[in-house]
Amino acid sequence: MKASAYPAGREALLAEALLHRAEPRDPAEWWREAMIYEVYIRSFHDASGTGMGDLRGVIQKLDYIRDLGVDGFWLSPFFPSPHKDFGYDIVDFRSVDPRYGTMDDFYALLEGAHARGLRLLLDFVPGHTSDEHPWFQESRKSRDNPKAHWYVWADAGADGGPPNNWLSSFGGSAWRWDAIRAQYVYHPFLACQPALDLTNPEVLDAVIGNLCFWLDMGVDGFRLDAVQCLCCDPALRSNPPSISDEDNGMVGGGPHNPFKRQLHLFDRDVPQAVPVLERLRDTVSSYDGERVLIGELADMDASRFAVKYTLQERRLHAVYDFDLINGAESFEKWVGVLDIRSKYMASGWTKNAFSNHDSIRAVSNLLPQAVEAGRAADAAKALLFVQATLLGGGIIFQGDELGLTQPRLEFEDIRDPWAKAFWPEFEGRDGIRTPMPWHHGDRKGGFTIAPRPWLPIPKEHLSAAVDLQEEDDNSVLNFLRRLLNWRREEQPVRIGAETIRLDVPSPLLAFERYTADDRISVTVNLGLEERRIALEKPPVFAPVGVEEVLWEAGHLHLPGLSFAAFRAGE
Amino acid sequence: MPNSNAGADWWKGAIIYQIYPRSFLDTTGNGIGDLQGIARKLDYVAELGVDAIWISPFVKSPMQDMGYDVSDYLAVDPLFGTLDDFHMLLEGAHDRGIRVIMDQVLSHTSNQHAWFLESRDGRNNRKADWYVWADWKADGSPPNNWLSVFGGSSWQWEPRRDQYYLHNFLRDQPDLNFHNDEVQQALLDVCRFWLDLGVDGFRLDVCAFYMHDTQLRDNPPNPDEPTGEHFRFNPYSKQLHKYDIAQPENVHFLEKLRQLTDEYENRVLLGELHEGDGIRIHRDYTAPGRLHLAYGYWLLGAHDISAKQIARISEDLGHEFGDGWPCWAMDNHDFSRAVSRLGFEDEPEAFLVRLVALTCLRGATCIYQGSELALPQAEIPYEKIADRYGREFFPAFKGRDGSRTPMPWESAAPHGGFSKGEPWLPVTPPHATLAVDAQDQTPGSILNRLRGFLRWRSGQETIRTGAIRFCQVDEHVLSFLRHSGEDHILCAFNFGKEDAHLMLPEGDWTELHGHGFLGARERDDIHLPANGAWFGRKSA
Repeated sequence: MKASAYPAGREALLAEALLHRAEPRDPAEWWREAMIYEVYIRSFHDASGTGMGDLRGVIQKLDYIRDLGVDGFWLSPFFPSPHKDFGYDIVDFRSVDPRYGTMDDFYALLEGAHARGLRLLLDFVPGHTSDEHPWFQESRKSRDNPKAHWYVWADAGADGGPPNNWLSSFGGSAWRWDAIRAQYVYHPFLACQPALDLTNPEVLDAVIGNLCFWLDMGVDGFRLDAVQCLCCDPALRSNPPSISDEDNGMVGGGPHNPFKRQLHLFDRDVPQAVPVLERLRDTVSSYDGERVLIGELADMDASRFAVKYTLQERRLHAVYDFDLINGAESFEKWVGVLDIRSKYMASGWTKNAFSNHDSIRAVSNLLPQAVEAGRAADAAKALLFVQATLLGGGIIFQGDELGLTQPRLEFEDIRDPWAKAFWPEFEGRDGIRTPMPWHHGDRKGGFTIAPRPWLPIPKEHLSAAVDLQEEDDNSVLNFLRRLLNWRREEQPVRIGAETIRLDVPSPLLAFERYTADDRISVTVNLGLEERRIALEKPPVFAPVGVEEVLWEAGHLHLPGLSFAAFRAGE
Repeated sequence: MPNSNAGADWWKGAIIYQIYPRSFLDTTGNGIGDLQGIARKLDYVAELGVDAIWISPFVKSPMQDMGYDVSDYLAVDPLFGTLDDFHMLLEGAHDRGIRVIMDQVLSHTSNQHAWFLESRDGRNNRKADWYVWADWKADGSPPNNWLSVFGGSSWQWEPRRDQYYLHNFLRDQPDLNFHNDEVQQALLDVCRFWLDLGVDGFRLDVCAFYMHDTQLRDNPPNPDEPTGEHFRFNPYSKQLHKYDIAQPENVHFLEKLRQLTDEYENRVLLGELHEGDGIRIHRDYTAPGRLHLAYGYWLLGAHDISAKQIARISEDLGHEFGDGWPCWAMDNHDFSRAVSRLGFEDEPEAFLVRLVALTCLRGATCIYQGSELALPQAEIPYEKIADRYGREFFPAFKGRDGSRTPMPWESAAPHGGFSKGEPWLPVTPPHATLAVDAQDQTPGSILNRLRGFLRWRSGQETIRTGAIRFCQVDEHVLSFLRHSGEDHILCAFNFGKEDAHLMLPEGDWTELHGHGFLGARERDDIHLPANGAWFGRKSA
């Protein structure tokens, strides 16, 4: 481990981060502005007829992914797992769950991706395992076995209750009683997902060993699960209550999740995680090629704190977060978050996620009024346009390239344990996890030949199926392909700085991307009514905007849900 | 005037056979026992010589706790049959002189009960106060430190109301708010429905759990190491359950229930008490005007049952005029089978002598289905465990399935003749060899010895209802007098592995025969071989 002293407290960490400003890179590092596609394997494509997607299903669709124009894709977990949290509860970090295929399938996938110039990022869960993992089975046996300190164990309080007030963001106490050890074990998520103690060097070595297993095989990096939870307070101090709703605006689980009522000083985002992050980075850096670590940062004020996790190229390369997803209560608030991100993106890096396998569909979440007005496709284009032009690039969840809307599922269809805990105030994560609609003419969307896919394919998704959109030049899919092709060579987007304009009226969004000698302006009307914005001279439009955007008499006229990128005219 | 009818005291020394319907006999082939299955075996039950059957819950339930989570108190669960099936069963039992005691789970309902579905929907509906709702603490955590018997906090947050509700057991079993008179009345109406139908009484599930402290005060820590074997694995035992259960107001509801029961003839209330403070609660709950009978966990969780222990408990419970009547039990559907628990798998006679001794004490006795066969605990692999309590604490506590496996009727038939389908829990090979048909054919089998003894006992009115006075009690020998008027019967048992001796008390004693146990008198000396017993009547 590095001998460098890192500051002790969270404020000191922020101060350090703010003192280290960074400059745009030229030439660009591939990951900084990359557009990354998220493949949720269980719902992508089923090649074996089990009703669940699999590795060979992804292989069959590699050309499709390449044709999107993305730089690479992140593949959700395919490791052996009891699937209580659908693969985020892992029992073996070094093999393939038979439900998803074989190790040979994985080799073929990696090779196929690289042959198409696509980077492949795996989903790695450093902070917890399944309770069926052999490490946990050994650790729970006694208080003095060789792995006794591999997880976070603590005695009961004097009254038999848990050691402190920490809550699981999935509901209930974050402590589960283990009758064998007669101690409580900590689980920040489901009770079947006990947290590893990464401050134990043996544990960190073992986790790093698993990381190296896949790096040796040639993967291009990892999406790291829940990096706000890598460590917890060693003294297990109770969290204080939160004072206002503002404290936890970014926490999911419905409006009243009790988790929101605490200030998560001691169970999230603790300083002990910093050496762990640095150790992970050192490991990845020791490999050739630009291998990357992109962390998931949730349950906290990620737009401001991301920099702690990505500082100075010593920690993660980038994070992605939920601020643009959960912070969508009002347009003003959303633009405010964009502004904060822009200003805090000093030496760290944040990728823009408008949705992912844990959220609801982007158009339904961010532009519900457009969906209600029957303009989901236009709304989807506008959002993809924003995502592809904002500083940091974006992560596109499968199906968002089709403009899929959030389906309404019945409770009987629900598989997500989080939803089962908080239903109906929170409908959980199944809505975005319904299988990809590949063919419109098939009740099962061409996803599977099994009689029943693991989640139903919403009827309304069939009319947005891939085969229809490929034929339609005006489709969301073909728009995205043109958009990503365009941005590939645009230096202001690839390496430029960013300024969010706060002087434009809602619901217009405008920002600038610029280098020393080039500047692109982006203007988007996220409302349904036409708006205009003062612009002195007629601009030079980039070929990716909506044609109906016009300049006339000192103003740019933007119909509802239209957008444009342009350079200043002479 | 209540209790003035002939036979009104039938319950005092009753032998109550507990039937777990899910595992008794399956007539439909779905792997789950049913009411028609019980009806079909009534002759078997009658032949045991019992006075009553207690049937574990058969009303409508999502079966998260195998029927102890009721979603409709007035309907029979389709798994078990129909209300007509129950009528037939009741009639068939009464024809054979068997009373029928129904299990009433009043402390909580299923979370699928219509009352709860309404209550959880908001804070202003008509049933808003029917369950125990409370706001979160400032930090979002539950209102206090109360724990669930089945693991974790006993508070579950409900997103629809943004409040926590109390559940002493599974989160699927919300606690009813007994401080609300409407709730009490609704439950009394439920009981009236079944009394009108003709059931002879109720076994009241966890009846000390009805009331909670309305101030929701934290329970204090338990300063002592947990005593009950049953709870050592469970943090529940680290608290003194001062505020979550057994509140003083509890008895007021029991009195109302007794008044209702007394409107009918010869009905009985049998309460289940919890482990902590059981003796005090027993006195309190079986006082005049409250429960007829109650049982605690004294012997149910024990890994050793000595003569001294039985005498001490009996003395503690009291047996003077006005003291309540206990119900003795070594086995039921919540505890591992006594034959294994006490280490008597190779010596079932040691189990039998203890069971028989219990039936001679002052009070009723529960005999759990399969005990008459001296079934050992069944080993169930984790994959087959159906009990959520067991899955929670496995393997320190493997749950209650090991005592809930199906009855073995025929040793050679698939699944012991319990079902034509795949049973919900397996019939293990050791159980099949102990099946009813095999024991039927064997004169000295536990089944036949118990039948013979109960037949003999039914003729001894003094043993059923008389007073009790303990005589010689040491590590192995338990002896006591049962007396009523001029009649005195000496009951003596040897729990030891060696021969034992006992001095006859003063008086002129006549040896009683026909009970099937070995013991011999030589002048004033009673010689008891291991697992032997001796009975004598004092001549007037």
